[in-house]
Amino acid sequence: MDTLNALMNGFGDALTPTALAAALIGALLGTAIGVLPGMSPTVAIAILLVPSMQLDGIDGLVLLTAVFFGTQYGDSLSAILMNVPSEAPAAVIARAGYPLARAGKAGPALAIAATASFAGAITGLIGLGLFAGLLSDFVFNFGPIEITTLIFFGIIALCRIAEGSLPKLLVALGIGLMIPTVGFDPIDTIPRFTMGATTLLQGFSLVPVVLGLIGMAELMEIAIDPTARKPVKVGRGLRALLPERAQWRAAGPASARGSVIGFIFGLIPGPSLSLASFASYRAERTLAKNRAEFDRGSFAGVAGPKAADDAAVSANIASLLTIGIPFTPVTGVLYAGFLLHGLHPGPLLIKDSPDEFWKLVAAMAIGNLALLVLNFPMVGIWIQLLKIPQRFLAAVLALLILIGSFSLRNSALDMLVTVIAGVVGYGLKRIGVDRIVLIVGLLLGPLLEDNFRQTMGLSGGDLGIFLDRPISLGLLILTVLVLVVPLLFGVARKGDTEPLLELPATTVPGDVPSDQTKKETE
Amino acid sequence: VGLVKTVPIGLRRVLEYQLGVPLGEEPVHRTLPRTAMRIVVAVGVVAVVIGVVLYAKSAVHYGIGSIKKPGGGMYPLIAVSILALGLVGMAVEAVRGTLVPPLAEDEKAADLAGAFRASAVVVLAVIYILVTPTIGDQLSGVLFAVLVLFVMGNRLWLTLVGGILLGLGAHALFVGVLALPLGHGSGI
Repeated sequence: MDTLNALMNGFGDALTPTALAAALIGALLGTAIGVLPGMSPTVAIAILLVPSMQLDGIDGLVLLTAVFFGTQYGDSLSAILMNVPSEAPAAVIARAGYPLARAGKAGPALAIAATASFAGAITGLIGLGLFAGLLSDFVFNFGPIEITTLIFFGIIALCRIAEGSLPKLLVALGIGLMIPTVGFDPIDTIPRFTMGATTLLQGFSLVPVVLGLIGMAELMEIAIDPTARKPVKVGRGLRALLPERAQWRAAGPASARGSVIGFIFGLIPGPSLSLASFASYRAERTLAKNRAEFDRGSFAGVAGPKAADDAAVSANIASLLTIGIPFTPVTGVLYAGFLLHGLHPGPLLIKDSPDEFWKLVAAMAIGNLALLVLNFPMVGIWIQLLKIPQRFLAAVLALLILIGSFSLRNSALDMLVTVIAGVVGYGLKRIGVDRIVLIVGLLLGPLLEDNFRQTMGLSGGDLGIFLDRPISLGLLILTVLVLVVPLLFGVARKGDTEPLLELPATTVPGDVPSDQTKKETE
Repeated sequence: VGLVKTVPIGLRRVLEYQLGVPLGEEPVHRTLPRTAMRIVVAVGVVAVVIGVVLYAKSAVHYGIGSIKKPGGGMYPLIAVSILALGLVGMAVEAVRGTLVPPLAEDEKAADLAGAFRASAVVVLAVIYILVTPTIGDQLSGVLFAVLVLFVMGNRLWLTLVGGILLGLGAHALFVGVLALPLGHGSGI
């Protein structure tokens, strides 16, 4: 009851014209920046740190958190409409949403993404309000042992949703794990695989590689045959833009599941946003009645990961507020913003500054409502992007992808990396290698190495330590279940033809399957 | 030989589209000749094998260590082993003829002109990256956009107007609004 009263007071404090304006502007700016390829929430918040100082205390933070949510939504917009995701969560959403856009269902897909985004964020904020005290204890239980097992679980779970044969999966995973080894060794800090080049000491960043593997490869495909994809016809009127009842029915439960998955994953230190989206996509695909149809684009496949993504953002902010340690680059920048605005995240925040804490929680909820209210009417505007002829779109994409790649570290090398990754990504797609596996290897590789080596140092080389810790043991049991249960189900069903690691070749992200392969999968 | 042929055929297609008249007879080769394809694949395989061996050699050089204290080379060696295992499996798939999924009809239609356009976009992107610090992002952005639009076969007026607007628009957004230091141009 105290929590509810405190939250109500927070809403009372947050419903000021300045806070509302900050939420609206933040949501709008975040979406506009997030649509641009390469523009991650980290970059967006960093850009707006100084301008946010024009607003007093909490109002400035309202702006920054609204930008965080807005950028996540913006990234999913470009993923659904153009198959150009900037970050790993959007890459999952592109897989389910881009085929829908190509099939003329962009409006409903965007509307569902906006609603799922709101549902996920609000679930995360409710979780934050209810469990703020418990969160810090839970997060503190995660050390290198638990993180190593979690990453292992993440990779195995990913392999279950991956496409292509086992050798192709291993190739993608191997490349993904190898790329981050360039640069400083995380433990001994000696340079590795830099070939003496100082520019390689910092290693490769994720964003340029993702932009290349998916976005640049998409551009090359457009260049190879610009007439293959006709501009998509967009229906007129509100009815054509809004989802039908069946589509809502598919998306609603998926949003709910994604919200819970996202919030749980979001509390965990590390690449929680990506893992949350992957886990949600995995769950939706498992529950899908017709997986071949799901692979050709799915509203549940958009709603689940999108809700998970935003719930994880809320949980990320919850972790930051309650324990005061930023575990990801974006929460690091947000942490700097909190300090700039005079708020000191940590276990004492709720006790010392309850008014500010609850006002911020309420303001984040208002920011998300603003995002929904703004983006629903704007669906009609965003989908006009699909009307651009591919011959012209190629130049727009080329410029945006290259400059977006540059924007993260102001590095020309990153642009070259994007181009090379594009060529590699196109080649991999042509031979049916799943690029999402590569991206996750790239994302989890450095964490896996760092935490595994720390664990081995702690245990003196005893692998049994993974079974001694309850969270680690639980995750290992989950990993075994992920591997074994589908096999058992496969045996029980007999009719279920889904192999362990081999999926239809038509399910390469962004592909619109040919009639021939459609018949085959049916 | 096949790769070299993509350039004149691709250029011819672009010019035909821009001028609106056919230039000469239909080219003989619409796709890469089989021998050229085999050479490309062989070169690729040799390059990958050399890369894997060199990477593994460097990993060993950084020290494998022990399970109690893994060295800097242990994790890279595990990663490259996963890759090598996958490559062996893919080689088996290639021998069995199951490596490349069957192409959709629209993909089969992509010909040498398409390969030229894709290669040209990649080459133009590299040139854009290399010249931007020297000539500045405004000029390089406009030139890049114009050339990509031209290669993609847009009408001449759209190529020029669209390219200039795109280049300057990108400068206004990324340099003017977002303050990215794309390159002011030091050479001229």
